[in-house]
Amino acid sequence: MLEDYRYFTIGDERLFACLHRTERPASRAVIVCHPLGEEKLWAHRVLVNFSRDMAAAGIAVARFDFRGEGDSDRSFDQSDFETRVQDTDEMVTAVRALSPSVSDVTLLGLRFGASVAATAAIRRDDIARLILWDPVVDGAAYMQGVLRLNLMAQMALHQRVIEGREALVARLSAGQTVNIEGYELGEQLYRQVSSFRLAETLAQFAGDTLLVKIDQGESAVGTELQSIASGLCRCNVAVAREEPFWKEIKIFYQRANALTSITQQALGTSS
Amino acid sequence: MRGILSEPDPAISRGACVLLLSPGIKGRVGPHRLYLKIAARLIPLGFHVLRFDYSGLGDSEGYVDERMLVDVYNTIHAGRYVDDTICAMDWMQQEVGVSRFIGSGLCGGSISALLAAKADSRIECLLGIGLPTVLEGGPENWAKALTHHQAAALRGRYVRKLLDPKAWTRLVSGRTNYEALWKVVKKALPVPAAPKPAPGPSKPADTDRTNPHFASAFWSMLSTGRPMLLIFSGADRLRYQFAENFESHHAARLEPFQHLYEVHVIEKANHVLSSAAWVDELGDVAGRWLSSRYPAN
Repeated sequence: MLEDYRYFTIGDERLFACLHRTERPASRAVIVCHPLGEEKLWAHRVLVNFSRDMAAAGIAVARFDFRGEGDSDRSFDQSDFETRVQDTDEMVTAVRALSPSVSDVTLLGLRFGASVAATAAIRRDDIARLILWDPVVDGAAYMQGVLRLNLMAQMALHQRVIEGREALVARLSAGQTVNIEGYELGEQLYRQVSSFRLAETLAQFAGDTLLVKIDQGESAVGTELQSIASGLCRCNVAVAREEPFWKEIKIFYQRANALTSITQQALGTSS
Repeated sequence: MRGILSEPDPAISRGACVLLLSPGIKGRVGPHRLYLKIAARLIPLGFHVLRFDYSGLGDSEGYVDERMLVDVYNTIHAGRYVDDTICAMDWMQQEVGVSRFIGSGLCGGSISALLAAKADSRIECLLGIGLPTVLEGGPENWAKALTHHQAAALRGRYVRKLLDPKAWTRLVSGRTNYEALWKVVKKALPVPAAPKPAPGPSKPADTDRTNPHFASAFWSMLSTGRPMLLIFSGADRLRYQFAENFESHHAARLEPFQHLYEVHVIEKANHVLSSAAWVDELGDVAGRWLSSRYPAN
């Protein structure tokens, strides 16, 4: 495997990244934006194997840790949505500089990472494609789900909820943090993500977009994503039958073959 | 295998490396970056810290054959990653010149450290965090390892289910874990008014329910004079499993070794130590314990 693990610098901080290189100079590159917090850890092996499969198919891949997560610098509470968008932007620039043969860059994001990828894409003019796996559609609803994790932790610790959602939001507004599975969520991240709307962001993107609904076969089509795509040009929806590998599930999910296949088709490399 | 080695300032180096071994499948970062937080506490004290991904996990190469997570966990408890741990120590010795190791890690990392210590004396002591003593998960294993504290906690839940039609449906349709239900009833009777479990002296398990690999590795550490600090979370079943399934069961045999192992409980903490205060306590206790055993040069 041609894998280059290294730190990139952004200001005086470090971004930890892995570059999955191809045997021959690649013309296309995929930059992977990981999901938030513990979802990143559960999904990690799928993203690693996906990246290796893509590199074997001739597409260079860059995986990296946002500042505040993984092995990158900065504490979680000091990171926010904007820093993640900056980190993604930095990675695009770095990949282009390191791989002059690359002319076609795709940003790929999973869940919350899809929000980051989409936002980073509209701030540049050199992103050919967005591939968004189970993207967050409504940032406010997503953050309510994140806060719910705190409520569940309160139930486990105290057998009741001591601070409800409103109190948690008030705490954020007062400049304090809210513990989410060990990550200290700050107000900036909460507010910035809460204002994210996928449809509005994608409306500003000029490239191709593939929205991938991940489900276990319970719903026929990703209707919410279909609705978004119907209002946009150059936006398609696909459905991948996969387990929710970004959560703790009973299966040790190492590969997402359906997702990989759909993604390879979108990139024109399916075997 | 891929990992990250953090080195202390050479001027304060104690010449020993803390191996923070991967907890389950979460790799070298640990839940909520716990391993980075621990490393940040230990490096200024003069310890090397090595975090790496086992084969088939994280960024390392390889593949895990088991499909179910519980099976992966149980193979870890059986020593799946002992060879990888020894390989990491070989690398440290050859490339960095450090050959004194402290085995550590959360949960699965902790049992890997204990089992590796049995196989390799370069692990001089164990800093166990949530050391599991029984096999992991699965309805059968779970019921077998049920402690008195867990039974007491579950009793209230089962009583509430008496009024739930869905629970009765589960019961008659064979989807209930009958062994667990029976154990709860058996262990918890007579039912007191307040079912909430309270900390206190643990009752020994009826029989030895520990992971068959656990006891021999534990005795190996003690019989070779290698100390252990076992840090448990107060709200974690692993604390009670150790106390009831191992410590109480082997009280007489453990007596002569009291000076070699310490147990520290972080009150109210959950399994992954998700609060910053719990991590601080862990860092303080571990830092003091390690510093006392590895004097500064």
